[in-house]
Amino acid sequence: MNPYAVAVLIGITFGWTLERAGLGSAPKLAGQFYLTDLTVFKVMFSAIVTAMLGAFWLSRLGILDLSQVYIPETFLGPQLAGGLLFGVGFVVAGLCPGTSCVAAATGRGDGAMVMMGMFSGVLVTGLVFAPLREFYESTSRGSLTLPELLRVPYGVIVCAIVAMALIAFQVAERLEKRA
Amino acid sequence: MSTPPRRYADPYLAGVCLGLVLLAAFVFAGRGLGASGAFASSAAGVVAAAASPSRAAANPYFARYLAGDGPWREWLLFEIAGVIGGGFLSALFAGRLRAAIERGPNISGRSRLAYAFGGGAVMGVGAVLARGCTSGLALTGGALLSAGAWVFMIAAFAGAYAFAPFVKRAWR
Amino acid sequence: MRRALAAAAAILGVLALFAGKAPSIQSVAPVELAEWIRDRKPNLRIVDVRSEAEFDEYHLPRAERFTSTTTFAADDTIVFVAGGERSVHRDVYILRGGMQAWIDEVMNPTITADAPLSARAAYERASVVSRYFGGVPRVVDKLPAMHADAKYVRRRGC
Repeated sequence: MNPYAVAVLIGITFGWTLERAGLGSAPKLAGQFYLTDLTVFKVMFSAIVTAMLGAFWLSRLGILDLSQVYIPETFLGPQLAGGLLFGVGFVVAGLCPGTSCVAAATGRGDGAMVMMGMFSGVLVTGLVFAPLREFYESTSRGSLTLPELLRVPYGVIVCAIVAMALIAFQVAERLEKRA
Repeated sequence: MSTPPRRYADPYLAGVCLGLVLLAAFVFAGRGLGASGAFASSAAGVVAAAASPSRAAANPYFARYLAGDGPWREWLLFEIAGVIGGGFLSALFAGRLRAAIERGPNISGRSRLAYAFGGGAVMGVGAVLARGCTSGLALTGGALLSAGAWVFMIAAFAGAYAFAPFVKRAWR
Repeated sequence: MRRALAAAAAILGVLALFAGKAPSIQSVAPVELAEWIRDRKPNLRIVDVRSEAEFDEYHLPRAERFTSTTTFAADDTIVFVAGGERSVHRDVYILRGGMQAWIDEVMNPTITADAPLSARAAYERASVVSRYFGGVPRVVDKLPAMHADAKYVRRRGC
C-alpha cells in the first residue's frame, strides 16, 4: 500500500487515541508536572510497554524483522540537552508537538499557538545551525539499544521495564488520590 | 439542548491502543510515529520557497529535508495531517469541539497564548537537537529500547518537573 | 479491565525472560558480504536463486546458481541472494535488499559533500570494497530519492 496512505491512516488513529485520552487539553497535560493528573505518564508508558512487548514477541515469533524497522539513533549529548530544553518548553506550553496538533484540530487557540511556536523554534534553530553543528553531531552511538548498552539480554530488559512500569502505575494511582 | 461531552477514555486503555498503533506502524511502515520532523520538513520547505532552493540547500540542517523527494513529500507531514483529522473526528463524536483557549484559572488568555508560543519555541530547539520529540523519540525509541530515546525521555521529564514551579501561575 | 491488562503485561514480561533469541534467519548487508568475499571467508557459499537469464546477465563474484544438484556441507555459511527460503542450516543469511542494494551500496556508493562524520565512515568502508570489485564510489550534490524505508528515515529523523 502507498506509504503516504499508510502514514495518514496511522496518523488518524494516533490523533483519535490522543484526543480520547484527553491529551488534547493543555491543563490536563500540565497536571502531570504538579502531580495532580498523571494521565500523560499512564498513557505514554502503557503505550511504550505495549509496543515494546509487541515488537519483542512479533520478532521472537519471526513475524516482524526488527532489522527492517528504523530505531532512533543515539546522540548522548544533544539528546540530553535537547531533552532538558524540551521538558522546559513542554511544561510552559502544556502541549507537545503531537498533542498541540490535536488541540488545534479541536478548536483550541492555545494549541495552534504552540504549533506556531514550535515551527518558529525549529526554523530559527535551523537558520542559525552552523555554530550548533559540532555539538549536534557529537557523542554519536549509532543505533545503540539498552540491551547492547547494559550487556543484558533483550528479554531481561523487557521484563524489567514491564515490572518498573507496573510499579510506577501503582505509585501514580496513589499520588493522584492524594492530590 | 446539546448533549454534554463524553468522558475521557481510561488512560491505560488509551495507552494500550496507542501502543498498538505504534506497533502497526512498525509492521506496515517499518518505522514509528513522529511529530517534530513534520515541523522541520515544512520549515525547510518554507525557507526554500522564501529564499531560494539552492540557498536553503546550503544550510546543513535543512539540506537533508530538501534531498530526495523534497520537503513536502515527507511521511511525517502526511502522518500529522492524519493526526489533525483523527483528533478532530474524535472530538466531533465526543462533543468536545470547542473554540477556546485552555489555560489555568489564574492567567489571562493573552498570557496563555504567550506561554504557548514561547514554550513551543523552546520545544522546537530541543527537538532539533534531540532529533525528535515525545512521539518520535520517547514513544517510538522507548518501545524499541533506543538508549538515546530513554536519555531524552528522562531528561525531558526532569526538565519539566524542575521548571514547573517557575510557571505555576500558568496552571494552578 | 486494568487488572487484566496488567496481568497480561506481567505474563508477557516474565515469559520474555525465557524467550531466547529470535529465529536465526539473519540478513547480511551488501558491504559486509563484499568483505567476506574479498577476505575469502571459509566455507562461504553464495547462492543466487534467480533465473538463469538473470544470473548470466550479472551475478555476484563467487556466486553459484541454485540447481537441483546443489548440495551444502553442514558448516557452510550460506548466503541466499534475492529471495531465499528458511532452511534448517545454522548459518543462513539473506542479502539485505537483494541485487538492488548490492548495486546501490557496493557498486555505486554515494555521499554528499556535507554529510556528517557518521555517514563518512560508512562511505569510506563501502568505497574500499567498491573499488576492489570495480565499482564507482561518488560524491554527489543531492542524494538519490529513496522510498520510505529505514535509510531514508535515518536521514530525516522523527
